[in-house]
Amino acid sequence: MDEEILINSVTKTGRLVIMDEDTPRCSMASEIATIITENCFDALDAPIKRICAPHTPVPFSPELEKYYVPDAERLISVVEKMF
Amino acid sequence: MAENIFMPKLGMTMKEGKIIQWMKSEGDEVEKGISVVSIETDKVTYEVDAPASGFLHILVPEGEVCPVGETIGRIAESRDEYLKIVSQTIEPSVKEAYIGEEKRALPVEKPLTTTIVSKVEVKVSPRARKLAQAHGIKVEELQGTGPEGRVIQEDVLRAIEMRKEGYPSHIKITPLARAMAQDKGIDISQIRGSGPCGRIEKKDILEENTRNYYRPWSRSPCESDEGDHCREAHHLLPGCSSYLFLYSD
Repeated sequence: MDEEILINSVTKTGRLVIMDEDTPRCSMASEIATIITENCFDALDAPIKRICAPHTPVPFSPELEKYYVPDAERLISVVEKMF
Repeated sequence: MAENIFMPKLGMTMKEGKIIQWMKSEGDEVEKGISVVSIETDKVTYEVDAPASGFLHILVPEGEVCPVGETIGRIAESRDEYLKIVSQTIEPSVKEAYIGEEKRALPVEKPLTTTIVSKVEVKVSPRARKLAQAHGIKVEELQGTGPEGRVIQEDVLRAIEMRKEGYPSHIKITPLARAMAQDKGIDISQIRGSGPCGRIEKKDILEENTRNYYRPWSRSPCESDEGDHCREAHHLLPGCSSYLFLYSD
């Protein structure tokens, strides 16, 4: 895992949003968030946000699946609140 | 520890909101998640929920307009904390109501000022805190412009700039406005900002500028001829080579 590239990026910008199709618990999103917090906590200007799927199995119906998978709208609304 | 209620930013272009109604009164016990205040912007009316359970202390009354991010109320965890917050805030009407209810002697009041001064727990981002430490700036004095009123790196950088120019660090001003003020020789500590969180913007500097030119006119009547105006203006603002002639009744 290339931690250095992540750390350099967050040190430059100060904010981080991680988007992952997995659930938040014990996922790659949490792992990345932890790496950053452990290594460059002082560089953060706002809490790290994860945009993940909810804690449920993937729905069968296509309409419900649209709610399940994180999309651009959610990303935009989360990023807007970070500033 | 008391929680703050902030004027929410309900859209990218929203700069300020009006408080329509406080659903709960001063000192009421509120539960987390219930609506406590309704805010109106030019587009929408929105109800803000209490961020925590406790006793409500109102900082901005109904009918007032205030910028996005400003603290409009606080929720104290316990009755004791609520009493402590109220005694620190300079709001004599609240104090009188409280004295009537509790019949207890309060500490001596500071002289009444136009701004409400209350000790707020300042949220600071780690980046901002480190930067402030490196430059010797007190983060408690700064008002944050980040989400939930957090002091972020931008605020600390601004404070450093202000300090270099000899102004106290709590004045918020945009870079353009600062350059303009320096150009025109305006003292920015006298201006009240109209931007988000009381920030001084270009239009505030322009207003202040026209006001400075306007002053000679309030002393000289409009009936006298232009020559008199020029002479009087020269006397009152020596060194100025051109004047903005604004006529009024």
